[in-house]
Amino acid sequence: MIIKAKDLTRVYENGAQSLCALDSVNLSVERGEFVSVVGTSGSGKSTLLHLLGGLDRPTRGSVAIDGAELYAMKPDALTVFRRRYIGFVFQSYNLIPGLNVWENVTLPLGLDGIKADRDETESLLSSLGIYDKRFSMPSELSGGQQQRAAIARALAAKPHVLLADEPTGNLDSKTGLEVMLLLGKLNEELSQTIVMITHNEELAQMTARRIRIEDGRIVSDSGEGRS
Amino acid sequence: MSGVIPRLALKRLSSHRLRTAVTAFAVVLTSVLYMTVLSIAWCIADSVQLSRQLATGSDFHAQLPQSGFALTPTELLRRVGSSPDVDEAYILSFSGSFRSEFDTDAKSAREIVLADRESVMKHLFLKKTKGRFPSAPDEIMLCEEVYPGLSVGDRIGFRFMTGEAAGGRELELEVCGFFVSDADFDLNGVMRWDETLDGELFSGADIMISFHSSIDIEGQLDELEESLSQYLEPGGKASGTVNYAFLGADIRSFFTAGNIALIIMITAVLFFASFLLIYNIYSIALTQDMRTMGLLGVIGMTFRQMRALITLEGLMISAAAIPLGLIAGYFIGFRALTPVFMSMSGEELPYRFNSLIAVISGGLTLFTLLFSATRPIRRIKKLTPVQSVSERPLPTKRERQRGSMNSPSPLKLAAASISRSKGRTAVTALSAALSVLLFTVVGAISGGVREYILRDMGMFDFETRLECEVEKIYADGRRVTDTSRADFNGVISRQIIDGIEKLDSLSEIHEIRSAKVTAKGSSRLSETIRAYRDQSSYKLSDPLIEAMEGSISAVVVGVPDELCRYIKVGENERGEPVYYDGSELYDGRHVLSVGGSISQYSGSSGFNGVHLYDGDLLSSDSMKRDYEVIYCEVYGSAALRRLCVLTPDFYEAMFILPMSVFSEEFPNAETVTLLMNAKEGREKELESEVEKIVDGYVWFVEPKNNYEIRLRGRIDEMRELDERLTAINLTGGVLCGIILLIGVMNMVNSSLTSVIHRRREYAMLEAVGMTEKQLRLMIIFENAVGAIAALIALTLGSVLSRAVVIASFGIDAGGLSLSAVIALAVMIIVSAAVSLVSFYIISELPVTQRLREE
Ligand SMILES: Nc1ncnc2c1ncn2[C@@H]1O[C@H](COP(=O)(O)OP(=O)(O)O)[C@@H](O)[C@H]1O
Ligand SMILES: [Mg+2]
Repeated sequence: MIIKAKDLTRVYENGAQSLCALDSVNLSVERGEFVSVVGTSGSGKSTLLHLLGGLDRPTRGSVAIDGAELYAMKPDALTVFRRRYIGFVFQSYNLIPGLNVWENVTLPLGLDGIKADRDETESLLSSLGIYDKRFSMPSELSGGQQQRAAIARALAAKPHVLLADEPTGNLDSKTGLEVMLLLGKLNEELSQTIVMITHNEELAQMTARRIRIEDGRIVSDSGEGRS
Repeated sequence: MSGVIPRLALKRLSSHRLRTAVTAFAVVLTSVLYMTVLSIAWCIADSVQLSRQLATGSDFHAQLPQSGFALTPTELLRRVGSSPDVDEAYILSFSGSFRSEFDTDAKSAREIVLADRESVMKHLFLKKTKGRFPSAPDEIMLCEEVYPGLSVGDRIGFRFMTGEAAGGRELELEVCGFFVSDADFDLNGVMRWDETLDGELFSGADIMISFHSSIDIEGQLDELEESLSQYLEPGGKASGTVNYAFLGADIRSFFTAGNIALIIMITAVLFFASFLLIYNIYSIALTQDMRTMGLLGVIGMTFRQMRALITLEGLMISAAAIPLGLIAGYFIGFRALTPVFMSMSGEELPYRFNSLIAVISGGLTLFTLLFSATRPIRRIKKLTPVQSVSERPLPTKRERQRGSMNSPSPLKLAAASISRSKGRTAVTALSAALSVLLFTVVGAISGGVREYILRDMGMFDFETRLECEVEKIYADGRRVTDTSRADFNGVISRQIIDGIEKLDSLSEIHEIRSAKVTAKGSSRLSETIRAYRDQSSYKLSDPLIEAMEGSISAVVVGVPDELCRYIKVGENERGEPVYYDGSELYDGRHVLSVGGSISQYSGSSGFNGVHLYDGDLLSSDSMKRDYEVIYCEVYGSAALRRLCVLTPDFYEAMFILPMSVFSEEFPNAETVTLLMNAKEGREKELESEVEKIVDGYVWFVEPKNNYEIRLRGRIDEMRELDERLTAINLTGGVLCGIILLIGVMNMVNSSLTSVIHRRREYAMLEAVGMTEKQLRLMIIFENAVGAIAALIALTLGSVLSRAVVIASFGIDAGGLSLSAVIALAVMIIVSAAVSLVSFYIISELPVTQRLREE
């Protein structure tokens, strides 16, 4: 089991009001699984993903990745853990402006004091189809190309888990499908564990396991029986 | 740390060029600001200290005479030198006066010093120019300027005035070298110290001491004397004195509560101003950067790495900008402004650069920069990465929910956006207010100084002064001319007075006469001098000893009756002058007693010059009658300030009589000065006519000094006043100007970045139907904050500084300062211009395009 979330709860306090965006969620993901998370807007999908990846702090509950308790760590230790073992892809591609594709992709390794292996990076970029664009600035790329660069960056450190929040949300349907197929290929060929949020039921159907969230709770999980 | 942080820092700096440039400029400004203030402060302290040291002739901390000790000077030197507190010690023996065969001037005897080793020269401000330091008792090193005709190796005869029971003694000495002197002290020769020579010809050796620390020299000297007490002769007393010229000696007296408060205030204002600017730039940059920072956090940049990144960016900017700022600061602050500021004192003071000024300015700037970065860094720490990747707007300060259901007007919208960025608005407003406020303060100070000086300024267009110029040449070739006046020792001839009285351009003329008498002292005066002697470390001078024993030298001044009500007799509690307005003075039985010129050391001891008191009698064998004394707590020339500058000699008591009484008492007294007013508008004419009459008149006081009549008076004083005010205004103006620039930069920086940042928001407003006019109005409102703050600062500042000036000088220098009003106008213009540019930036692109922008 690579991801194990227990009793995961996130309450947003907003002045006098409080909102329970995620309500006692339990979830396990096995190594090599490709899980899609669906649900209406505001149902708590992103909140779940952020908590799984150690980007936020839960109000209650815990998350373990490869047996390591995320929220028992100090902030900087968590950050270091994140850059080594978890990769993120977002709807808006979130590349660092001012750095070209190559620099963006190798930045997480650089932050760890590791010099990126040139051949590996080149083959990563080629397999994502953006080798030609490796010296381009983010602003010179199309949406699909930016998203591929973001995926390359997420994969550069060979993370154990790849978390994607509506990676195709900003792309037209053809490009969206291409990115989806790319993720599928990564999952099949490299056994990359992937958790992906999507709005698109069609794309969700392409994954082996689908989780549906409503009002902060998991209402259905196609892989429930198995685990 | 991996190399990725520096590379990232460089990347960011070069991709945000404008921001980098603005920050760099701010850093340059800050260092110029610090450098200017530090240069001025340093040069004032330094020149005061240096000029005092030059006046006394050495920079030693203290001196300990050998007399009283049962040790030879050499033994005493060794004991003193081995004290752990003592840095350096030398044997010196002063004041052997001598005359050489080259001294033609029969009257002047020269000063010579015996010194035990060469390194003492720098402490005496002497520089060797030729030859070497004397190594044998029959060698002498001479002052180059005094003996231009001699060269090394010459043998010349010297006649020492002392020795052989004061009958004098001849010595043949060989010239072994030459020196030049920076001190104001006439030292003509240096010989090697030798015990026999010293005993025969000199006054006895002193051990000159420099301690390691210049703090509490009195205490250190006491301790040293204590430790040496075992070597005293029976009944002997150690009589060391502190060199008060050394600022360190009374450094404690400099740190009065007032001075400390002033220093802290100025530093705080400067720090605050530059902090506001840099902080503003940082916080704006950071708001723009929050997303990037969060993103970096998501992909694994730790907080420490982010802090390192931001600090490194700051350091990189500093590395380029601080040296630039220091160079600019050197030229603006030190080369240009410091001399102007120093000219305020009216004296020519030496000023020297010290690299410490640059080091401290650089350090302070760096500190300001890094300190300004700490708050943004703390904000980053609070940021969770999720905030940067979620699609919702970044939370700013807590936004309170408002129940309002009115449709908002442009003013309300502006108020809302101002309150949303409260911090930044406050910074902009504060820095705008600060500069205007400072202009107001500088205006109030210069207005106060002006009124203060005007209040005591002379009443007459012209006054005759007997003056001559004395020139002093420094070692570096500088020539400084000083003016010497004959005052009560001078006489204006009858012929001249008659000539001037005939002039048509003259509207009035008055004579001041004086007579010197030897008067009887009083018991109260003797007591005062005794008390002074007991607590002062200075030896009483002969006139003071005589005064204590009952005989005083006095000058009696005759002032025209109609001018007696301009004689200053005291000050009220607000510091305003009080003039004589009684009637006793005219009755022929009373005299005003004004203290003699006060010596610089006696002020604190309560001794205010030779003086008679209420109830004493002015009585002299050379006067027909005695006069009852009316005591005035005014010293010397201050009593006559509105009339003339006549000043009695040190330790000379001064008495004033109305001319009606004076001319009966001293019918043959001479006129010492003439006071003249010209007819309306004919000042120039009178001046040139009087100058023609007095041309060629010379009064000899000593063979050396030929005093000539110069015309001075209100016209010159006004010109000097203007120069002094210009110095205040220029220095203050430049400092305030830099701070104004900071205010303007803050304003421009804040509004333009906010506008660019909020293009979409404005587009949204337009999309839902806000007209261009409304939009423009809203932007104008938003940008008016700085100008409004400046206006408030001007109003409050004017009221307050006026109140302060009234309270401290007792002067109402009026309300508004012109430069502050100009500063305010600048603020208003800038805020209008910024609004215009903002509006242009907003409307440059069509609404649809702006809506699509990220
Ligand atoms: N930072 C936040 N502060 C307050 N409420 C939030 C915050 N983030 C999310 N929410 C609320 O939590 C709920 C779940 O949000 P989210 O997880 O983003 O939903 P989804 O990704 O499924 O659209 C929503 O109602 C949203 O308004
Ligand atoms: Mg979402």
